[in-house]
Amino acid sequence: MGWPEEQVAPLMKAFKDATGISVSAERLPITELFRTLEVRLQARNELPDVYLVDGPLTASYAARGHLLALDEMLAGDKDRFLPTTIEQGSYDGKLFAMPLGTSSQLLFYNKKLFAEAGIDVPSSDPEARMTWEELLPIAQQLTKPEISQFGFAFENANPYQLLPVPLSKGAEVIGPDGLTASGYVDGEGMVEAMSWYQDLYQTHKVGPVGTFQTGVTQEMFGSGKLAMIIGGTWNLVGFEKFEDLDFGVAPHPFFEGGRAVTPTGSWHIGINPRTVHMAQSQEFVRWLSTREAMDLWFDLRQYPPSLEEIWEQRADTTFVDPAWAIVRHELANTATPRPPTPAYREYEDFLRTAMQDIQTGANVQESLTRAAQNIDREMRKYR
Amino acid sequence: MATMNISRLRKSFGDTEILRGIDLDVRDGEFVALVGPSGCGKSTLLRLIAGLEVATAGKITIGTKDVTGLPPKERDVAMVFQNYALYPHLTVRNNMGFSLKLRGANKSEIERKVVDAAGILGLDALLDRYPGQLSGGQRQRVATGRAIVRDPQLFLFDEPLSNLDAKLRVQMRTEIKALHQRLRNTMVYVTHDQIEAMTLANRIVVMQSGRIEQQGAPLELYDRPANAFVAGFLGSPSMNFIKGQIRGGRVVTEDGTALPGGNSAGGSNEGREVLWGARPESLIPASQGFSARVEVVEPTGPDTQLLVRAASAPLVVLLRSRSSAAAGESINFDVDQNDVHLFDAESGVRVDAKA
Amino acid sequence: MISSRWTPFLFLAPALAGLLIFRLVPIGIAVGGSLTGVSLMGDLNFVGGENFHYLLSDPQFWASLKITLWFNLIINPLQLAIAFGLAMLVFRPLPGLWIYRALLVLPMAVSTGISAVLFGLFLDSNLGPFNGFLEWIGVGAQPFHRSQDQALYTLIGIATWKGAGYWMLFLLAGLYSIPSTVYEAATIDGASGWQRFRYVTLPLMRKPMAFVLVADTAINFLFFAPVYILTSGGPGGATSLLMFEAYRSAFTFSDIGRSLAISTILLGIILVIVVLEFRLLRSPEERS
Repeated sequence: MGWPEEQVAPLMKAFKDATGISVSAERLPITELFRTLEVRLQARNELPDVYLVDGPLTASYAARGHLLALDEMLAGDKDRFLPTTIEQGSYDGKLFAMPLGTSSQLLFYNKKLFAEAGIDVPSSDPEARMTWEELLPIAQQLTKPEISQFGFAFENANPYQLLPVPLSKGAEVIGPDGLTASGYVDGEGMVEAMSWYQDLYQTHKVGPVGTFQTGVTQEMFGSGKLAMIIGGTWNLVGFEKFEDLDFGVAPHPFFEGGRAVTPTGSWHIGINPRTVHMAQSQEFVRWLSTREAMDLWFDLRQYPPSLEEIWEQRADTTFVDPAWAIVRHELANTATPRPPTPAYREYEDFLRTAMQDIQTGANVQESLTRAAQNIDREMRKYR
Repeated sequence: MATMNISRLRKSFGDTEILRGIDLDVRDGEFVALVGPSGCGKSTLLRLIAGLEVATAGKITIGTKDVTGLPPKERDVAMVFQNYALYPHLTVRNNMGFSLKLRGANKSEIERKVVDAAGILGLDALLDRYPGQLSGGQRQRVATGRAIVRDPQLFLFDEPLSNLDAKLRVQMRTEIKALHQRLRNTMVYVTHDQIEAMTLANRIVVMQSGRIEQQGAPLELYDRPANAFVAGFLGSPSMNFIKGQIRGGRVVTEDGTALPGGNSAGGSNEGREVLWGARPESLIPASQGFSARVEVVEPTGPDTQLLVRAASAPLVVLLRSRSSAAAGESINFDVDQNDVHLFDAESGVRVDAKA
Repeated sequence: MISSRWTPFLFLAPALAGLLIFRLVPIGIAVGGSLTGVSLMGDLNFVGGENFHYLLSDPQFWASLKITLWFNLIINPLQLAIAFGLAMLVFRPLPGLWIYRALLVLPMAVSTGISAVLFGLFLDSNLGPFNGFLEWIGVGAQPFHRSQDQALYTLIGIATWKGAGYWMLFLLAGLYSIPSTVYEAATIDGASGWQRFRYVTLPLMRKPMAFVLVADTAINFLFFAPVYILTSGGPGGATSLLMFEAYRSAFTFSDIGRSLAISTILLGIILVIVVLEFRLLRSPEERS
């Protein structure tokens, strides 16, 4: 896991107090987490007992026998979770990874910069959300190179965040079998969407080029160098550290004539079927699914919760208004999980590279075709 | 072919003075040997002539040209190095033709000169070998050949035979002598081996501590050394020396032994402290003379070498005949008046006859 | 009593065992592994030439091969030339020479990984001091490893910064092993400074140069860390050297077969090129 010690330790302590079982947690930087996990799992030994699963990787791990099916264990609990989260944690009709939370993306804007420019702030009503066509001129107005101020940026350049762009245009981003990339990843809709994305940075220059890492764009928005940012719900708390920042939130934009699509999905937890601590591992996962544990978790790290009951009783107590209402609407109506393919890891890896390259000015068609070829190659093993 | 003139030549490396004023004239076609012990400056002098070192002061003229400040290539000299300094990556042919190639000579001319020189040195069969495939003597010949091909004004040899074994050294010595007689080029030859100098040179220049001690024809130096250093340096086995005082035409040692006084022991030299010298072959067994005790007998075939002790000093005696002398025996030796050398005890300078 | 015929082998046994265990066995495993595939559930099975056959139709492989060859075609002669130049510069005794030597050798003490990180910071387009300098002298900021056109050359620059001083040491030792009298002989034979370099230094440096070229080639074909740290094969695949491709196959995509097939091909390429280089730089004695 990649979270701060202070967000993890209390959870482990509560589990020990409740069951007497102590958990030894290993924390890794997020950039190393997936690589390290991959090497460990492919060694096919008894460690780790329990590990964090990024929602869309469930299929990949399950297909290779790295996850224990949890249906029996959580038989009575499945309907307590948001349906999209159960969908992400499942493969082949079975639940393999228990959802710990979910996520959504919002348009954050800097109220001060809007006021200075005399521009009306975007509507917070999901039914009256902005189109990308409306956003561009606003972003252009708010871009001031002379003071290094940019109008708009995506928080990062990951498929998680950028796939809603082609999806909003109605593009198919993966073949119906979940194992074909050519014709989809480099299909017409995708090329069109990614060309639009490239134009934002290269032609209109409303966004800072080369900012692939979440932290950089957050910092720019927080310090008033970026007027609008599409970012995750985690920023609702994250932006609090910028004392001078007065921000508002609006729903995720879409293309005129297209449909509204938002990213979703988050962390799950799964059990290594080879663990020698099977009973304790199951005990831990079961305990994490309890209301008590989920409450504590929501206090510690404010992801949109995966349990319906917490949404009903607690979310609006914490989230900045109107974020709670928007996120709830998105999760119910526009949230689109990442493609359910066992090869999501490979899909994401190559597509991310292509997306970053496109932002920095690489040829769109070439980048996507290369990504599609590489993805198809790595998908062989799942066919 | 050329003359060479060196005047008041000095060379220092930092605070160390290696050459302290050298004056030397070399005649056209002459073979001059520079001899002296290690560190006497003979190799430095050669390198200054070659242009590999720059003189601190003084002047070098080759032919009529002042070459003091000129680089080697403008001096028209050739040099044979002690370790031969052959180009390891070139064949014998290309080693020998290298200088001509640099000079831009055409191929047929290079080939002709190389083949000529190879013929002189007996290298014909080795022209396509590499230096690594040759014996020491062959390498030495190639190094010499490389010099011959250029037909320079001046040949310089820097101890060219000292890396060879004794037998080969004698053979190569003869070859170099024959070569000089054939080519008649001016040659300057550095060696620490006085026999090489004696046998090869028209003129020997004996150096010590950066100065020329004496120069002249080999036998002239051998017969009339100007000082005790030259006397001791030339000749093998070297000259015997005993300290003494001139008294009544004889040289009397500390223990009272009276040695033959020679031609210079008379007149106003009476009472002078001297170094008495006699070459090993000048000590002749006689009925008179001074007595010596035989310590070691070394027959070499043609000669017999005796180590004897007289006047508490060890003496080497070289007899041109078989000898029946035995260790422990006492024998009387005498020296011809003309074969006695006397040197001043303090300065080492030769003592001449005075009225 | 052991027969004398076997005695030499007895003495050689530890070295031979080491060679076998640490060299030949891994190579055997790599070559053998390139003929296998791993199923989703982790079962190993023999697939014959399939991994190689697939590579033939894999555009990424061909692109990587092209980049790898181009990279080596530039970096090896470049490093050799720079190392040689540096060796010539610090060869002659000069006051304070040891300072220059130390400065040139210093990058050796920095691990490849650290130097990649340092250069990442140094060349950064927003915060890096080097771009500040380039703007100051009016050249303007360069994207370096962030640009498809410059990334490969940036990596070559970093590797050369790190490697040139190291290779210089071997060439310097080579220069010192040439007897000074050979130069003097050439001087007396009438060679100018350039001619001494051309006809004496260069040919006599064949062996050290061959060693450096061969060792450098073997290392640069396996060039990896800066790619991993700075570019991850990008941008736009501009730095996807074969070694990185092999790494990604094995550790990111769990395709051991493809990884080992690429490694085996790399091994073959290195072998061929090293043999060619040795032939090219053989001394004339050995050639005849």
